[in-house]
Amino acid sequence: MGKRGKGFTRPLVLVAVVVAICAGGCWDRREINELSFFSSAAFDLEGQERVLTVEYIKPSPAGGGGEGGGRETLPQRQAIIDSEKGATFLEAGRQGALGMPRRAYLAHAAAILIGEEMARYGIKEVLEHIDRIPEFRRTTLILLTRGPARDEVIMAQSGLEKNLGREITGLHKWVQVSGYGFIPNVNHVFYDLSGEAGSTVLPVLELAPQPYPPLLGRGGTAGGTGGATAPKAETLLTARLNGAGLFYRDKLVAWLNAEQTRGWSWVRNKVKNAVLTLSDQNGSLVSLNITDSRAKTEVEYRDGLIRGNIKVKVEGNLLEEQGYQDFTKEEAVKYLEEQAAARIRAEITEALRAAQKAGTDVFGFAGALHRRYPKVWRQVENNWRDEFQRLPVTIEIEAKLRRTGMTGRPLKPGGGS
Amino acid sequence: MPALYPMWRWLRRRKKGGGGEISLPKGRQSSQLLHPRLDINIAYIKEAFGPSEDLVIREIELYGRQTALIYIETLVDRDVVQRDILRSLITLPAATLVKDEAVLFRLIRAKLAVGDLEEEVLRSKVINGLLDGKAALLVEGSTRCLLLSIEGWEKRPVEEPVNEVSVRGPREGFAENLATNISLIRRRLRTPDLCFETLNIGRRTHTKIAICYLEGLALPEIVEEVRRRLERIDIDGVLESGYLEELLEEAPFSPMPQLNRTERPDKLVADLLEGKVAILTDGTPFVLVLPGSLADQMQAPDDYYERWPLSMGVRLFRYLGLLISLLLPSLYVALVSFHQEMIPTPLAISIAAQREPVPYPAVVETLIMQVLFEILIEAGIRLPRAIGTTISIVGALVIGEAAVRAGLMSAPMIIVIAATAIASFTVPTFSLGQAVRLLRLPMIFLAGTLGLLGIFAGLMIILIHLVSLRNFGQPYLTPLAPFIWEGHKDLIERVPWWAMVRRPLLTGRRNLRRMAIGLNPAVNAREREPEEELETFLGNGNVKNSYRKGRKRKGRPKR
Repeated sequence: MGKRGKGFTRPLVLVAVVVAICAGGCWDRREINELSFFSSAAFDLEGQERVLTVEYIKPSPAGGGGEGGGRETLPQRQAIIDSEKGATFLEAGRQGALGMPRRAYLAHAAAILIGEEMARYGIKEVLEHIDRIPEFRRTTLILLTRGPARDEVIMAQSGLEKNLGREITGLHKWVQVSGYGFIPNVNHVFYDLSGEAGSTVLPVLELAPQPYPPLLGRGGTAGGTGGATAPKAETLLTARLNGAGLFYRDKLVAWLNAEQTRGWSWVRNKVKNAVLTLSDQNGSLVSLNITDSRAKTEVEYRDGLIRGNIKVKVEGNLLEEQGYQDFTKEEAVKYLEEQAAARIRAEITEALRAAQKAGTDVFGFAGALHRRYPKVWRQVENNWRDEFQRLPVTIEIEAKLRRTGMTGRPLKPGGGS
Repeated sequence: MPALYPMWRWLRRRKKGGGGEISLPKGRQSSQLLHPRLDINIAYIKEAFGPSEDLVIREIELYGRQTALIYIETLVDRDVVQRDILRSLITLPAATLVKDEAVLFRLIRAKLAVGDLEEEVLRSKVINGLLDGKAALLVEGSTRCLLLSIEGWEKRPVEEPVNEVSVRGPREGFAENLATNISLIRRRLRTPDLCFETLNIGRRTHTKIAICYLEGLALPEIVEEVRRRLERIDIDGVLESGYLEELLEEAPFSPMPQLNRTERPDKLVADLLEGKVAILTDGTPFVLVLPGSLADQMQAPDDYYERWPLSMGVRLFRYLGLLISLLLPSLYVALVSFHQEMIPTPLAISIAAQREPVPYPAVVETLIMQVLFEILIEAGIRLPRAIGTTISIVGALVIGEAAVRAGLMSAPMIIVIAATAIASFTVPTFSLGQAVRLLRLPMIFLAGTLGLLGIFAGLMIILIHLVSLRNFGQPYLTPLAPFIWEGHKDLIERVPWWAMVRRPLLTGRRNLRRMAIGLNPAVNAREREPEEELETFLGNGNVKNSYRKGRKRKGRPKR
């Protein structure tokens, strides 16, 4: 018996090892077509309840040649939306599983939106939620909405992109050329909130209607296929950025309008390109395209007084001119540079005023002070909010007009020289 | 799967005994001397060969004695027998009696128009000689006989190698015939240092094997070891060099080809010049080269004939192809079924949509496709050429189009399989490609069970195995694993010839210097100062040129 038993042990051990190795990973296996990809989500507060609204991507065969002919001209949002309530966001999310035939997969999440009420209450729990779930990434973009964010996720449509998540990712890439907007990711927010100033800025996403030409691209289906797809004058609600919200700690305390947002963006080096429309010496309008902008925030401590200093250097090209000013002349360029500097200074001043009023140091003075005068920082650390509110700040702008586009002098129709 | 064999042995826990002896007819092998009586000798040979139609025994009377010319018709050159031997024998006087055996043999020798002839006294040697295509001249009353070399059998002419194709390079490939192959090598290596040691292996086939190396360059210990291992081999027959390869290599359960093999004389000569040793087998156009290494198998002769920057890039792609062919399907499986976060979002969604109708998990899908593909390749090799194209079209249609339409496979899967297939053919050695193909299946399995972790575990196992492989004293990953800087000039990169001054350290260490230093043509050209020559040739001394001339003269004495 003993001998016989021994003879069986080795194969059994081997089989056990093989099975253990194989089974070790199998529980983790999830086929890609059994997942529903999380694209964007709204985090809202409704009374005591947390509302989680998620947009999942509806996979559709890419290309492949249409099977029923061409009836895909109307922009179709390829998304499935699920909205659930719960005591916490996680609970709300699990409620969603009751009606979801596939496993929600968060790693591809593009963006999350935070409703106004939630933001005023505090975004800490949203950040926690994202940070503790392993599948969520810190590179997920984060935005703010006026009013409940849920509505935006539900109502967003787009002519170009198939879902809101992709739309926001696209905005993220291109919005910085206007200077009016930026989209941080969750990691930036963590970084900001754990910094000295403990404040951050989140951009505001809103849905703006765009009139949709009803018959565009439909090949004249006047008496066509069916009543269900009959052309209707529809209104597309596409997402756009407009302004930003100022956060002190994790709470929304004030709004910035678009100009103020750009004023802040100059200082925090968020402007990649921007258009400044100014008037030249003759009073006609001229547009500059800012091609390079670098800013520095500094702090100086003298005679027991802390002073802030913002230095901005911008360079730009002249890209449009309504009048007939000759910009090959130096005075014209000088004049325009001064105008540009004044304009940027005004925007920054506006933003600074709003931030000081709200008491949120989003310009990085706290960090600058800590780095340069650590001892002073330790003294003012605890009432930095008050200190910031009465911080005198000087703004230095250096604007340079480098080029005037492809041509030097403006076009004079019919005129000789 | 050969790798399962040790596992099976381990499970059985039984050591195999010495194994059965090969039984051979002892009587025919005996080394008895020839009998003085001719009829007994003839009877003995007749008995040895049995009822063979092609055994010719021609009895002639020479110098008053009965003699017999014996040969196997199908192994000798009939022209030579008729024209040179029979005619000269017939013209000898039949009636004149010569009593002295020594004188008799001298007389016959003097008249025979045959280059290579020797005397033999052993029966078995005579029989072997006949089998080698020699003719035996037996003489009544003598225990000696003459063996005349008149071999001549049908053989394939030298053709371009089929499997080792190169764009630029000689169009000659080894043939089956050993003598032809030796001549192909001799013609390229005109040095008395080139050695061929021959021996016969195979109790029944008596296959001629030649060990080939360059004296003074190849390491004597390697040659000695090869000799020892070859002499040890006692087998019924050797039909192909693959028999020897399996009996010579050091890790018989490894999927990796450990001896290099080549069909190209030019490649073999290059190997010999690096101090390697070759084993030529009669009846095979494949020559074994040892010690082998992985790097050698990734080199194609084109690399050295084509311009070096191009070869460098091409070789880089070849290594990439090796990696792709080993890893792509398993990476696909791992990403699709474990690590979806690593796929870019649009691609992930697209793959998800494509996989929608597929009922199997990605592993099963990949394994099915892979197996199907292997079968297709095997079928392609075995099929007659006329049907081959049909099969490939059918295969492409069935797999590429219908399987996707039927929802059996997903389109990305097809792309992966196709890319893998193409990549696998960038490996220049067929056997290495086969090894990679074989390793691909367990890798897919690992990826399907453990994801990326499994792939890395598999890679680790392969790497550990490769590093531990050793081959006639040389590590398998040679310039890489024991890191030899000099060897890297010819590993993934291929530096120009004038920079590869040294031979590979491990095999060529007896004589490291391959060429003179400073053969860089650019350096040469600069020394000759072609501008000056050009200026005198053009003869138009414009201001700029004369200025330059003047400045040069200042710095350097005039020639």
